[in-house]
Amino acid sequence: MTTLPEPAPRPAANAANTGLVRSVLRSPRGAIVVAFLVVLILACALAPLIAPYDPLAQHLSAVRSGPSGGYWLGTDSLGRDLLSRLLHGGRSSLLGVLEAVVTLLIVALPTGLLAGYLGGTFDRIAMRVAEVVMSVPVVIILLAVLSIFNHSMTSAMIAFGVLGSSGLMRVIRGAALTAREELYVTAAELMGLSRLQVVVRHVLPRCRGAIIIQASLFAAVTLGVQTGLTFLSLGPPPPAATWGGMVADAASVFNQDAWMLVPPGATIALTVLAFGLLGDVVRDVSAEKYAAAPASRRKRRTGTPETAGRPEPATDMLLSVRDLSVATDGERPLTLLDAVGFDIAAGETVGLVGESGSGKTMTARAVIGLLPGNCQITSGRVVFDGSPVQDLDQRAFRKLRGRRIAMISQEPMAALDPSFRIGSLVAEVVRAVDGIKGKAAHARAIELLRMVEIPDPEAVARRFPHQISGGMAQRVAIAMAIAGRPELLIADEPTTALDVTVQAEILDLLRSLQQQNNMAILLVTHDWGVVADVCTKVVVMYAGQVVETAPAGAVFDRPAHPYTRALLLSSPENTHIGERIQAIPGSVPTPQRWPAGCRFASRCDLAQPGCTEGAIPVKDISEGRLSRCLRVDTLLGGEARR
Amino acid sequence: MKTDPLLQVERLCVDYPGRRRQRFRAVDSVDLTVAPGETLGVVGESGSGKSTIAKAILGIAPVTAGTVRFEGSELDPRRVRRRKPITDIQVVFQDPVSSLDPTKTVGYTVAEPLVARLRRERGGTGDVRRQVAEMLDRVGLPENAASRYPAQFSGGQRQRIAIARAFIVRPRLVVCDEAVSALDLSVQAQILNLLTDVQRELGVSYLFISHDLSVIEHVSDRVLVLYRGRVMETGSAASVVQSPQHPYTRVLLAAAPVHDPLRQRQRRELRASYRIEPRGAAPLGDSCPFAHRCRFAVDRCFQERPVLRPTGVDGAVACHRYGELPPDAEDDIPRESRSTTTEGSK
Amino acid sequence: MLKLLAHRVALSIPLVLLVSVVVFALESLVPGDPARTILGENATPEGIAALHQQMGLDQPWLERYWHWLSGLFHGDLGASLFTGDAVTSELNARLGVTVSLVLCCVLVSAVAGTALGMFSAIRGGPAARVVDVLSLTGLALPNFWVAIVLVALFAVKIRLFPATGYVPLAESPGHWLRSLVLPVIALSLFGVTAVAKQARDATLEVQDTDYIRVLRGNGVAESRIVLKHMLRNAAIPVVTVLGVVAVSMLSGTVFVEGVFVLPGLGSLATQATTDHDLPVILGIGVYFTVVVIILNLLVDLAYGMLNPKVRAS
Repeated sequence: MTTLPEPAPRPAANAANTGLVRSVLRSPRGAIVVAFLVVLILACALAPLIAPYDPLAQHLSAVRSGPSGGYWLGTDSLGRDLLSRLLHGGRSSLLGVLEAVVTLLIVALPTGLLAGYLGGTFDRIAMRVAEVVMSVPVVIILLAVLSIFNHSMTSAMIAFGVLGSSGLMRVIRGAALTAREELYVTAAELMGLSRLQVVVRHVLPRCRGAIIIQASLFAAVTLGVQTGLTFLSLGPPPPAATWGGMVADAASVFNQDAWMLVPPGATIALTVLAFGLLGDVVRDVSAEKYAAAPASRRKRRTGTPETAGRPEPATDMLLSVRDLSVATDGERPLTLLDAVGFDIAAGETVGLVGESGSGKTMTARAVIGLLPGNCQITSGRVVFDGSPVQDLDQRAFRKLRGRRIAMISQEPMAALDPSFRIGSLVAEVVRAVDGIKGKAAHARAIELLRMVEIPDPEAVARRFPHQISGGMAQRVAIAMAIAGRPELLIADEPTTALDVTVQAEILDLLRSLQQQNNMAILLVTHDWGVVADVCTKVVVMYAGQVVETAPAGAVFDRPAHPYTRALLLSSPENTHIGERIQAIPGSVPTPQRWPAGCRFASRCDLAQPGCTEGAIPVKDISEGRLSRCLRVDTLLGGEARR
Repeated sequence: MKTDPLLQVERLCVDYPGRRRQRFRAVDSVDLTVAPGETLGVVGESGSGKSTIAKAILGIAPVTAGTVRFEGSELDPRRVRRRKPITDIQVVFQDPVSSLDPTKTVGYTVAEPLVARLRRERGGTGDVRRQVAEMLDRVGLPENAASRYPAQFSGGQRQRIAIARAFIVRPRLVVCDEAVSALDLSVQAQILNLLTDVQRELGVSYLFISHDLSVIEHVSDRVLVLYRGRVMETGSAASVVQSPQHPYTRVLLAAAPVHDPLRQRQRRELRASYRIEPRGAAPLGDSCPFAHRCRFAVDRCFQERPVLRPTGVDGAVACHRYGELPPDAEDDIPRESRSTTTEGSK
Repeated sequence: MLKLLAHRVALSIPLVLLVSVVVFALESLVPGDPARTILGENATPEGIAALHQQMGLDQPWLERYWHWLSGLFHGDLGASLFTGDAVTSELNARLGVTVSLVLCCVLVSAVAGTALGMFSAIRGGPAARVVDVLSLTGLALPNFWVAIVLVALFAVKIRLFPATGYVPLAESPGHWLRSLVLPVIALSLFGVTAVAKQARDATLEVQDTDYIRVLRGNGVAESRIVLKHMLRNAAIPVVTVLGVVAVSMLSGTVFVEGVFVLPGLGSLATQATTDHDLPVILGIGVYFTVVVIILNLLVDLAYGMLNPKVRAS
């Protein structure tokens, strides 16, 4: 067997296999909106057949009657049936919208696609023209057209479509430009497909959502303008029924009868709303459609492992986490962290190691009280310096943050507010942790920048985040974190985004800062090299659980969990040249598919039937070493080597 | 020359428009060859121009000067949209999300290059479906994968799909541009194994680009070390990694942490011994691009551009002080017995 | 930054040309005799001939356009076909009304929209749902309809504000404000909701960034995070949408001014269209274009001040 197939992926999601139209109809909002529009359009189109009265027929015996059995929506001041007038009036309004939208698409679609995909001169010219057209006071042009073409609504709507097309053109261009940057478009070009083939097959499908959204929003705007023009009686001359004209009729008599305002107003509002919502639904559906298939959330026991008694937090540690579980909110909560426990002593560097989906970042965020909005701690204790912090509210937690616990994150650039100068950002934290302002805060900020070995800190303080390098940005982030002289620094993959030489410098800096200030570090990483470089202790996580805890030296020599051993072996660094890497078969199970027993059992070469039966307890192996493995003795005895 | 190279790049220069109408030279006079069935690893940090070289070979970068020969014939340096497609060169990109069209089924994606080639050659398209099924099976994807969409696959599986798309036309050369960099360690191992297995079966050559030295060392026969668009050192993977000649290569190797706290402590000391305060701004033009950060730099390094000088059997190094430098204080613990973990792996 | 402004000013010239050329070209394209269209069915041949003379219809349209354009450079936009008054003096008298209205609306949209949007994003839950529903309604209801309902409720029913009319600012600031309250509400409904939507999306995005998380994680107070960092970063997309909103409000004056009988450019434009008074429409087109250019300039300035990447370059 030469390849290691990953487990059979989830069953096909229906959303992705059906067309956009069907996906829209499948969503409840989409179905209602489409049904409303279809009924409205049919009713208006068939108005001559289904309208109860002639829209112009005056029933002088029933002037301004409210809704009644004879006149469902009442009559106007000339006794004309409002429902019939609405149905007939809708014809011109909806036709106008159609004319405008078709014009819009004819103009915007080809220009936008070409400008985005081809770029170059054509793009520059098209963009300039669009920019000019977008500043045109559209309504004046419409009025001029209506004036010249003697109140021809069709001409006005076509003009409106042309003028509106610059907006859609820009959107399509943007989408095409994004699509052009996608690697699959590059791949298609490399296959030797013609430009037209690339556009039709790979660029256009990605723009389709944007086109429908913009077109339906434009339809909503057009309806507003069209009814507005007829309200000003610039459209078909009276007594022809128009929606805007009906509002104008009602306006002239609203002192006597306010009801007449309701039917046309509500109809216009509902129709505009329907067009607008259609856009929203398409946006939501197309966002979902190509995202990962919604996971089937099976009901699952949140297996609390049957460890002997409830583990008590260690009191002599700076940070002690016990039995910490985190789950999403909602009716069917999804457990993301399952009874996580570890300790950090003062001044110690603990590496939290695992692959994506292991829960290491979630653990770090739980410790500093910054879980994502839809997640919460469901059980367990986080004890910082002797006092529990897991139940603190944000206000109380803020007293700890900065001064006692601080953090740095993975993407140094993203961690700095792009709108402020470096100096002001660092001073902001200084102000929060030291309570000083102005010059004093700035001076302290400069001092901090100097502490993180930034050359010429005054000059750097004046720059904006986008003007410095990634390594420099991470130094600034560290300066912000150490401003309050914290006892614990949470560092979430602090060097992953950096080049290896810059990584080495940042790790050196962290090490020296730690020694100067006796600061403990919780270092989240997936890189064993980083662990070997700075960590004294390692906590290995897999599928939301801690599987092994060990001193850093021991974990490389004698891993006490099959996952740790397999993960180390799957690094090319630990493979002899010319040999195959000992890859772990399969992949990390998602929280939906965590098994009842050992979560690594299906990928483990030491697995026995007992491994899958129930939750695996954490075993104390020796001084400071813990393993969540039933077969740890075999593993450490060295009998079952692959 | 032992065999005729499959790919031969000579004096390749790529310029990008930079600030204030200046041009930024991303690739500066790079020579490289890839023999049939060979893997050339290209390693460098961000800004080294490694991905630009890949783009130039694929015809999606603005080549300013130099030639790219494939199987002896010179490739049209024009952008790919204007030149004849070369089916024999395929590519696997880094980002497994962006490299697959989310609106197309996996089967369509994998079949597309094959169908495009068959159309060009006016051949029948009869057994495309069978070939796609075989290829999907070959890269370890389930049978029903062809009818599903990329969103339903994990990152590792998507990379398998991208590999299937590259190999379906039986290319001679596959450019892997950071093909495993976005993957988790255990998935990366699976994909690396897949790539080496397919290479062994089909005899394809790889131009393997990565920032990760351990990956490069594992897959490559020969290695090219790039810094700021220039080749600093080349040679067999073993010789470059075991006894680096260029000061930059040494710094790069010393910066990469090893999976062993003891050896890492030594490496850290080695790293410290190379570290100097940068002397002024990064030099441009006729100088060594690394001179300002080099512990061994002399005046000549700032004034004269070093040429590649042969070192051993097939190595070369671009350093004025080659031969004068003290040997690298290589780790004391021999590589072979660095940990019991790897011993157990034999 | 300066380059950006210069670019904006440079764009304004083709803009004026485009608008006027299109109108003249359309006029020449229209079938039949424009003079007859203007004067209606029962026009006398003498009347038509006189109008021909006045409009210069015996000349080709390019020549007429050139004539109009050279007038434009001397600040002369011709005379109204209907009243015979100079277009510029007629428009200047009305400009103040429209500009007051639009500026107030932009201000209200910016402040109320941003506040609502940020509130909805930060608070979440039912409060956010209410804001969302309100903004949908605001987006859907036509402004002229809202205007009538406002008059019916607050001017006729409870007589809180004057139903119609306009008092210049110089005359009485208090009355000026009172006369503008209802029109501003009617007209800025769309602006408020559009800005609120944008502000909400932008705030949600900013809320989920690393830099907000890092500021929180390092102990910066929530109030400073919201008022300084979130507001500042959410303001960048809001300013962009504000430019679009301002232009659409200018168009909206055409529909709303009539309802409140405000003597502004919008109501004049309606009247001129009914009267087929093309010189007046063209003149309003020029005035509107200039206002749009100034509004866009202000938006660019604000954008540049907010976004350091633009400012630096």
